Amino acid sequence: MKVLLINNHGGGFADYVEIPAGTTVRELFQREIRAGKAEDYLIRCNRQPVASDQVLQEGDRLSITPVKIEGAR
Amino acid sequence: MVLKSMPARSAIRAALRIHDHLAGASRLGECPGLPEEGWAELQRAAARLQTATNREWYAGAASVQDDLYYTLQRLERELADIRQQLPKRTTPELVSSPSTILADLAALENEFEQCALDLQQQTLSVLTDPIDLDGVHLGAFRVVLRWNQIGQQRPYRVEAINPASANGYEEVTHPHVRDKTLCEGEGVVPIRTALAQGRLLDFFTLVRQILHNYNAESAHVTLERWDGVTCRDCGWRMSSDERGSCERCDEPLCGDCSSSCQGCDRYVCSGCTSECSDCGDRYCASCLSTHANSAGLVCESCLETRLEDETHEMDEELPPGDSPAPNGSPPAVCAGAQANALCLGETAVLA
Repeated sequence: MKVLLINNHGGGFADYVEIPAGTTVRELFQREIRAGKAEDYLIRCNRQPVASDQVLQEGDRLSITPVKIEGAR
Repeated sequence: MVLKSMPARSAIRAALRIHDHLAGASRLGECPGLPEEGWAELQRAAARLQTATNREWYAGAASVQDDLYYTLQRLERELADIRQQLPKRTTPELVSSPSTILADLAALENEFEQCALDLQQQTLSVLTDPIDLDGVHLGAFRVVLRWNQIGQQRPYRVEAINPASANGYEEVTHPHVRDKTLCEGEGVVPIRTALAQGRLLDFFTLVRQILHNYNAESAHVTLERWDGVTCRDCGWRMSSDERGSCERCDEPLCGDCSSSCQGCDRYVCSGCTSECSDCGDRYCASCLSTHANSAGLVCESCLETRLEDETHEMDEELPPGDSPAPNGSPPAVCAGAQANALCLGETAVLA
């Protein structure tokens, strides 16, 4: 099934990805952010906070945004 | 979908207009300046290499080849910078539909303290929660996006509601905000991508996360010096803990610039000291005085020396045996009166 994955980390990525049915938020996060910890990110499903064990549905929109983004001068 | 703070019709109109802008003009962006000078230099280097090769000047050709290499490298960097400035290439299907934009507008109301839409000004703004960084209270900020400027250099601004600017830098309201412009740092690419695709919730969230973080290595003014002052003499910015002050004018002074007056030992700034025109040491104004017979200021010690010298000179000018009058004034000299050293018992009678 397809979900819209938005990764606002680093260079950014926003596109539809194919995932197996039954994939949870945690599993997709770990696939996308291999070395990251979930508490370091704002993870939203369909624009709402979501539990990590929530099973994704067809057409869901999952966004991953780092909590800490450093500005500059 | 229920919108709390904006009329549904206005939100729908805004969503349609934002989508139209993203699907059209925003994808064009401003025309960048091309590196013509760099290209011209590359052509000149290539021509020199061709000439050297044709004439079999192999040593010269090797040197020119190095020049060509560095010129190419520089041109590559300039072209990469230009590419960075162009709006992110967005495939049409990734530009958010009006309904997606509308969903973002509704989500913004839940995510932020306030959300406001102005169809006439074509702006969408949110209010962040109050921001505290390392104990420095900066207050809340309003992020105002001009959606018709998406694709241009600075389509949004960041305004402090109750500015707690850095001391002496009114335009710096946040370590990474100057003149209402956020320096995005790590967020520059995801912010541009989010705007280009119309993901407004992501855009405002990214800006908020940058505001909530402090990068001490790249700040307009560091938090350590937020309440600081600038040294009157060298301009160095110091924290209030490090601050000293001139004991004459009370202006702030850093440790390196404060110097003690040689006369009274007070710590003073360069503006409150002058050089003694004799010895060259620096003294504060009250420890220097003028001398009747010369220009310039002298210190007490040099003044005493001058007076002693003058007294000594005056003594030398008097005839031998004469001594100054009791009142210290030089003796009057009678013309022609000479003591005859051979006439014992006689002495000149002073008139």
